[in-house]
Amino acid sequence: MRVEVMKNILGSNDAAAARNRRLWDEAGILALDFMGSPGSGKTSILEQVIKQLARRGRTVKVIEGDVASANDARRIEAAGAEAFQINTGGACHLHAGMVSRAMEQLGLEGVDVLLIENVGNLVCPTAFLLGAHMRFVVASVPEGDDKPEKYPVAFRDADAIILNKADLLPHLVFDAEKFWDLCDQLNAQAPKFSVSCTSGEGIDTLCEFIEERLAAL
Amino acid sequence: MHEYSIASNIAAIVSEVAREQGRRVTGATVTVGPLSMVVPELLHEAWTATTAGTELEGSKLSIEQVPVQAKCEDCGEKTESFTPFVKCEACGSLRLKLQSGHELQVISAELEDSEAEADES
Repeated sequence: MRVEVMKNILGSNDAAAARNRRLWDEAGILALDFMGSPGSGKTSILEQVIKQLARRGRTVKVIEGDVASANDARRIEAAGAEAFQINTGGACHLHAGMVSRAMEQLGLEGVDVLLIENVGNLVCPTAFLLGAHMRFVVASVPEGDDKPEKYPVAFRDADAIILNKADLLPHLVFDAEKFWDLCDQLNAQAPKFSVSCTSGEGIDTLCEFIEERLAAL
Repeated sequence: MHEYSIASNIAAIVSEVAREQGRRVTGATVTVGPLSMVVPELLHEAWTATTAGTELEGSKLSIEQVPVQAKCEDCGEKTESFTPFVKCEACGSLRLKLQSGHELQVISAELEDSEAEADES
């Protein structure tokens, strides 16, 4: 006997993501999800953003997603923000329920901005929404200028795109014009940022943008 | 390899159907769009591994692949693709308005016939 089901396979994740979003909205917290390859510099960007936002008087907390280790959470705490490390134990992405449980541990009182670093991966996290107000996709100069072409879904579905390690542009074969043109074709609306965590270029602009989004909540 | 998460979500959905109907599930049909980045072969493997030792062990997962449907924002042509690397078939542009391709749905479940029905047939 065949019965019709017609249910979204990710329905339970989407529902948990919607609950997360409601919680953040009620608390006036801006939640940002960062997705990118391992080594693209997600943690370094978070460190820079935490320091800048702290100077602007903002309270930032961080949820770190990694397969194993608490190295990233330690880096984040050294940068001055409270962090909760999720170890997925092999899973290649965070899902919304993991983030809900992490929030309970971390506590949300007094928080202005919650940064979530997804597991380093440009494929698997795309389907699993966490409820964040925006998802940033992070690429970096050493990865090559054709990254958007190789991972089109990540770039199409992102709400904003960051190119990191921009200080390396003069030293590596990377056609920035080509990279941004691919991004524009895949995702014309997404705000785009070129940053370097070494020279600090572009971090101001990124933090200014985060402030604007926070004010618009 | 998010196929394992996907497989366990499918298992949860069809197990609920089995409970509601009071019958064993022998199969499930799902639709998968290319933009979900699910690889059917890996999903089959994940299904076998996820259901092993459970009430769903031995059940058959049927995967229906549905295409990305898109309209080119440069030349207006329509394009269909069974891969996530979709470009306009006419002009090669990536500037596309996507109409479908993110699908991940359980369409139906196959249930074991009850003893009464089996006797009738």
